[in-house]
Amino acid sequence: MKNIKLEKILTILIIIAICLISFVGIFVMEQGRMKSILPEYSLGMNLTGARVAKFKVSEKTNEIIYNAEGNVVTDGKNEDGSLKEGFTKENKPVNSEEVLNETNYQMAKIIMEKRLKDMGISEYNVKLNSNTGEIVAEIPENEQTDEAIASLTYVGKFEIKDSETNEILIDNKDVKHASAVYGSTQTGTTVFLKIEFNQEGTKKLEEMTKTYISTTDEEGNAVTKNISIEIDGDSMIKTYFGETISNGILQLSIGNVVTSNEELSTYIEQAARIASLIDNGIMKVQYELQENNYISAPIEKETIQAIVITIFAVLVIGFAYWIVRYHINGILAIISYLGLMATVLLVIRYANVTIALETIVSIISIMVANYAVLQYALNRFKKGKENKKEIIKQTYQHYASILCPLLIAGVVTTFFRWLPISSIGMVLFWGIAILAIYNYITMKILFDVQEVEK
Amino acid sequence: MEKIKNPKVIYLIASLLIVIGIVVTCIWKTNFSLLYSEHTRIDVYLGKEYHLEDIKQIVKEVFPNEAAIYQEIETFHDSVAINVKQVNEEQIKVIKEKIKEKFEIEDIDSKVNYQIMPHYRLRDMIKPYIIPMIITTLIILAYVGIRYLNLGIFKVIGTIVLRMIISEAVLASLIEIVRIPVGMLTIPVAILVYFLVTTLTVVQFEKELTVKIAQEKKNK
Repeated sequence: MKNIKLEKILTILIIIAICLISFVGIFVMEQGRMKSILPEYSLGMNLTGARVAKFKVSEKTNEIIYNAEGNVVTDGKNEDGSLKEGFTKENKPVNSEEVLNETNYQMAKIIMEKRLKDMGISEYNVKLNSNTGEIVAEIPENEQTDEAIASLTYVGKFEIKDSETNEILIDNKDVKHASAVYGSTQTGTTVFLKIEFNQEGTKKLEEMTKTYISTTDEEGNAVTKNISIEIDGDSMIKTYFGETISNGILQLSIGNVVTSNEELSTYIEQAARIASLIDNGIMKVQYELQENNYISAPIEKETIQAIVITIFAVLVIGFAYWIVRYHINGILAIISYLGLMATVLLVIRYANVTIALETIVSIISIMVANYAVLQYALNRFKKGKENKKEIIKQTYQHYASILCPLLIAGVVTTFFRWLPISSIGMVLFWGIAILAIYNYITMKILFDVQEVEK
Repeated sequence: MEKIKNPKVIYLIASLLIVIGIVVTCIWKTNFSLLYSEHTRIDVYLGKEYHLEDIKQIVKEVFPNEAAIYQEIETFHDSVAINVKQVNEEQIKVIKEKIKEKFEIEDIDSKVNYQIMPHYRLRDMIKPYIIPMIITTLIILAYVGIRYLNLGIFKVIGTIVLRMIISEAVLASLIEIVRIPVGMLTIPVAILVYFLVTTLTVVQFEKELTVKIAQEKKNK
């Protein structure tokens, strides 16, 4: 009997300690300041803030120089910058009047969304002003943000050219798919930009790999024919081929051989960024970045306070009912309930689950489920028809079936990259897993059968 | 959950709500919250720390009957974004004057600028959730079909699918009829309703199954 009491007191003390740690924190003195040693909650874009980038339709012009025959030339200027004799120039807008329409704006928006998705951005909003063509992109602030925003201004024109004559050998319409891959060798891991070509592109690639090679002329000098791989006219790489590629797959190594995870993820992000430009088509409208600021979350404190107060009020009513109806068991159930929520919140911190506004769904679901489980058990403990072991068994049998759909939702949504969805899944999964283990322990130790039926 | 005593009445009310919701949407369109609709964002670069209350006071004077949402620009607490439905040149002029006077800022024209922010489209809000929810629903239906096979597979799957669709449609209709602004909390509430309806339906099936098993045992 003494042992049981001691066990109960010890369990209550542990639960109170967990509650204090989770709700208040553990603080240590560091450089004259009190600092919490618990990991901070990782919050999503709609709770902290986002980088808001505004893109406007470019009004820039390109200078085009024509020779005396009216052909476009690239070397039409003298050393002093003046036009060569008989040459003429024209300033042509990068966006002609014909391309400035809603269909092309919509297409640009969709391409931007696809690029963000392919770059692995976990959460984003892209909005379009159909009249002006302005696009606003909101993405989370992290080390990837600047590069991601920069890549949205690209039109996405992919070309493989003869580096001397500028003849276009392959372009976007020959590409089937582009992706970032990596492979391990004895020296380390190398990240590749993998470009898969369609049937037409495969033929062109094979031909190209036979032509653009390094050979030796009759005098024994090395003669190399290079290609230039360009995106929006910017050369990424100039190279030649060592062997014929007939399978339609071109793999370009990105960066050096990597030896750490950090380097690996940097190069993968880099390759994914280029792949996202190649893979998602060409924007017919050229955009330029107009504004790029970090803007805090729009949620006002009053909204969060209202949600917390509502949840708290409902809980107080629920707890009052337990105390009135189940007395000691009711009080113990309240302690157990708070302990479970504290444990879930601690796990969320340590599992580094990013909390989005949508996560509130999972937290409320866990709270309701926990209340229902304890309520079911408390009722049986009060009736006293079965012994403790039987009550726990029945409670678990009953709720295993009922909570299964929630568990399914938790597991399925965990695997999605979209942060608001995956955070619902992770919290739901962890919550139900903890609920199952935790309640078994607390029910077994804390609750007593109140009225034994005669 | 008690078995619904007269489901016909509930389905009739739900159908009525859905029809009214559709009519309201056709006539008045969906009501989006300020940040989710097309609005104007006034960016104020003060270059010094400020009290939000001071900014709120100025905004209240210029837009006496309008809602405004404030966001901090960058993290230095020296710039603020004021979101309002729309502004005209005169209002911008007054805001500039008041901010100049309050915060003693020179060259106010370069410190206050505004831009029109595009609206969210409902389909863009919903899009990321469609595939996860379809997969989740299919697996839940498979589970429910197997678990409550004794109650009749078509009956259980039909009931749960019908309830899922009707509950979401009723929620959408209520949002339209009561003119609740669609915003950040809309999707979480819709998911919560989905979870709630699914769980309560499973609770009902569980009870029906228990009764049926007990009945079968008794008959034996």
